[in-house]
Amino acid sequence: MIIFCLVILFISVIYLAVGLYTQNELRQEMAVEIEAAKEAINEAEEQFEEFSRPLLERIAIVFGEETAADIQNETIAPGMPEEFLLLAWGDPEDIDSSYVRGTNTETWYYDPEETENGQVKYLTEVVITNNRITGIQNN
Amino acid sequence: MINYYHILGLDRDATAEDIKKAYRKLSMKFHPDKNEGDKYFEEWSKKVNAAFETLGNPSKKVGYDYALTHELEKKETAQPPSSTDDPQLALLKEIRRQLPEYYDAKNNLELARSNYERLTEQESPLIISTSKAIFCIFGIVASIAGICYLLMHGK
Repeated sequence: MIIFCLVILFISVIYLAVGLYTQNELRQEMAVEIEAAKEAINEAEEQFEEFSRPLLERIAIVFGEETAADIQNETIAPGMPEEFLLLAWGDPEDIDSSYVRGTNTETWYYDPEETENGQVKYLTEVVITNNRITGIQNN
Repeated sequence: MINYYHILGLDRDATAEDIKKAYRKLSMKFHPDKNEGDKYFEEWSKKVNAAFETLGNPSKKVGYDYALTHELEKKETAQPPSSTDDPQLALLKEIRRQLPEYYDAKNNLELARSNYERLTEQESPLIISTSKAIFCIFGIVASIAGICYLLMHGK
C-alpha cells in the first residue's frame, strides 16, 4: 500500500514538474520570438523611412508639402499624377484601359471583396485620364 | 536645345523682373546647401543658374530667343516639355524608377507587422491546465497523507 502511494506521489510530482518546466520553456521561446518580431518591425521601419523620406522631401519641395503629406497618409485626390497613386496605394488589383481620340483613360481597381456568388467586386475605383487622377469612386 | 523658359517655369514673354523672381524662387528651392549630398538638387541648381545666366543677361537673351524661335519653328507640332526641362516630370520619372525598391521596403514592413500581430494573438502555451495542476497537487497531498497514515498505524 505504501508502495502504491509512493508511486502515485512520484508520478504526480514528475508530471507536474515536467509539465510546468515545458510550459515555461515554451513561453520563454514565445517571448523571444515576439521580441525578435518587434526588432524586425523597427528595422523594417528604419529601412522604409531611409528610402521614403528623401523621396517625400523631394515631392514636398517640387509639388508642395500638402501633397507629400497626403501621399504619406495614403490619401489621393483628383489632379494627382498616377505615380502618387502608386506610392500611396500601390499597384491596382486590375486595370481597364481605353484610348479614344488621343485620350488614354484607365480605371484602376482596388480593395477586392468576394461576393456571396464567389465573384470578386472592387470597393474602390480610380479613373486616370492621360496619367492624372480624374475620378475616385467608392462602391 | 535646352528651353531655359521651361526650367524657370516662365512664358516666352516674361519680363526681366519675372525672370529675376523665378530665379530667386527656384535657386532657394534647389539650393545644394539646403539639400546637401542630393545629386538631384545639385543638378537642378546648375540648370537654374545656367538659365538665369542666359535669360538674365539682355544681350545673351536676345541671341538665345532668336535661336529658340528658329528651333521651335523647325518642329512640325508643339512638343510637350521633356523631363530634362521640367522638374515635376523629372521627379515623376524618378519616382517610377524607384517604385520597385519602394514597394520592397513597404512590403517588408507590412510583413514584419503582420508577423508580430500573428505572434501576439497566439494563445500562451498551456501544458498543465488548472484542472490538471489541481489533480496533481491533490494526488501528491493524498499520497503523502496515505504514506503518513500507513507509517503511523503500521508501527
